[in-house]
Amino acid sequence: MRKIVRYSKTNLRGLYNLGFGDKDDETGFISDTVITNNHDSQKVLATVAATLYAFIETHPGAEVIAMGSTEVRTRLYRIGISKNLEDIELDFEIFGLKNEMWETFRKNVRYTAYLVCKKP
Amino acid sequence: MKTEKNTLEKPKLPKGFKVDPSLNVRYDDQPFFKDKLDRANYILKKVGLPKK
Repeated sequence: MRKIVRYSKTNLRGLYNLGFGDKDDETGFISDTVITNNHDSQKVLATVAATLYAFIETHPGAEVIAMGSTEVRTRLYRIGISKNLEDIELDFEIFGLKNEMWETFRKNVRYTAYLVCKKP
Repeated sequence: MKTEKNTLEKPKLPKGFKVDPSLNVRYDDQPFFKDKLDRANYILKKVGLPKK
């Protein structure tokens, strides 16, 4: 299954939205809600994280917002971030959106979106 | 002695990964993840950015 990861410009300069999903090679249709159920979610998230490193490498100063297309996916992102938080925080600041307010990401807290920026 | 990671080093791609620049434009004309982008813009307009 081919995955597509796309960083799209938002209405705020220098801030990009991260989206990823499965691409059906026959129809060309992209879905960010389908569950391919390959039990490879951690591998997929690791790949997406790798694209984030590459993107910020080539777009210095960029900030990235990400959220799941479903609550399940948003929770999956949280799990992936939590598992690697110590490594992530070596290079990045990461925030979670809770009750319409951004806060520094904490484990075991339910967020609706995430924002990542490279540490100066 | 444990060596701390030098945070001045550029982050490196994990082993086995490489960047293909042709992908930068290949899907430019395709509106992937429009709903998600709209939601992101809505959040940013309503909440703004984190205070650092």
